[in-house]
Amino acid sequence: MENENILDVRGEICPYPMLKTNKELDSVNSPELKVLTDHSPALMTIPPQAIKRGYDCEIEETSQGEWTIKLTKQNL
Amino acid sequence: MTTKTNETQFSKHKKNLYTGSILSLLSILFSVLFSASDSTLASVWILSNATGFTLQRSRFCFASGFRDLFLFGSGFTLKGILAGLFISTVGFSAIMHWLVPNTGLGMLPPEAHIFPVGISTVAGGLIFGFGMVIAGGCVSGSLYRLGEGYVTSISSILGISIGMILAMMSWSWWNENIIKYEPTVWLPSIQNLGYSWSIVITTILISALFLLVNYWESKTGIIETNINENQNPAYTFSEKIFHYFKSIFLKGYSPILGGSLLGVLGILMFIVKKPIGVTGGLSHVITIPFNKIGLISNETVSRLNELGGCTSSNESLVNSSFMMTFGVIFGSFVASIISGEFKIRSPKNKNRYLQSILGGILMGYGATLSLGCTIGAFFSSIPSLSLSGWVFGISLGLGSFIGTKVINKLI
Repeated sequence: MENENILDVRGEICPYPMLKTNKELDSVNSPELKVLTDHSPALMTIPPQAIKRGYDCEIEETSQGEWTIKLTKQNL
Repeated sequence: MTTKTNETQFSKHKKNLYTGSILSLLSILFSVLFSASDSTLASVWILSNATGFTLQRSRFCFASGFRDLFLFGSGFTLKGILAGLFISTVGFSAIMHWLVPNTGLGMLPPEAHIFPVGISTVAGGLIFGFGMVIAGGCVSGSLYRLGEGYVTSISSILGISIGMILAMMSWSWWNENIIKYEPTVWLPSIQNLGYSWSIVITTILISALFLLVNYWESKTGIIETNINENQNPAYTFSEKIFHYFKSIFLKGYSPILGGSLLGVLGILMFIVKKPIGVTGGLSHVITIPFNKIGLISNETVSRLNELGGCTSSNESLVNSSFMMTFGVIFGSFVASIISGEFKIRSPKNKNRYLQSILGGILMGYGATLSLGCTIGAFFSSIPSLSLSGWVFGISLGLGSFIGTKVINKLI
């Protein structure tokens, strides 16, 4: 396994989960990023931001009130 | 794009559903017992539970409605708010027409959220709009997130309370110098506009905003995404039922659905008692002790009562505002339990507590000046056909725009 790019924004208040994800996507042009969040609005706000930047999203509910949003760079 | 719900079916949710059902039954039992002494309050309690439930399920945040426009170029939530405003406008107008058939006699429909409009509305909106962005959620947001287990909601509610006390201590100054001179503008009574024209004007404004938001989104290049579930076709009876169970209790609602449901709940609440306002309960609970010890004057309390809306009141502790505020928290708690989203969440960055207290203080101060929050002075006020709702809304937008400039620096 190559070392994964993980952004842990659990516990953060609105809108920092989205802001930090955007910042990460904009600064590190990584092919894959996993965002760990417990902020449910982020499930609706992160995907459009990521898609706008050319990523595919996959959301997985990992435990009670926690999700992993997997963002993968689309091969254009 | 896919969402995995961990491929487990009903069994995983059983425990949550049982706990949620017990809580719901307790709430209904409370309401039934309460209805013996006051049936209105009992209904208000249930409707507030439904409001909290809807807020949690749709992750509805009025703060993000304004903020995300500037922060992310996204107007998804704002479009939901606009949908709710339109639905409420139609319903509120029908109720007000029933209360006051003739708009030319200078009478205002009782309990409708028609507030003085002027500098206090603008100042209140700017302060509140700025504060809600700093705190990461408005008053309703803080309440429903408290129900979901957000620890920072406690600090933001503490801040809101402090802000309210400060505002009520300085309220006589605001009243003597500013609020006293502000007119109360109710659209139907201007130049005999009546209900029909008022509805037409309000609808045109809402539609224009809807178009503007879409235009804005087209400029920022944001697209609405539909997160498709792995749709397993439902053949059996239990599969079919589970599908609906999932749509209602497990999946998040779209902002348009959330906003529309809130619009309908607002109408029902107005029929039962008065339009929704969630700041009132907090303000009410705070006013009683602080009035007793003399920090908040009797004069301020009686003047605020006269103006109506979401500010303090003299009645007994458990009144309709109390039911609304605490009913929302409980409804959201139940929703988060059933959906399995309840979790105690506390930020690693301890500055967030400070941020939510400061944002809260601003919100509490602003809400007291404008007699309500994003719900009471905006979401319930525009449908009341009051000019104050529009002025407050625009000021909220401006305030949150300034707020986005600040939070970007606090990352």
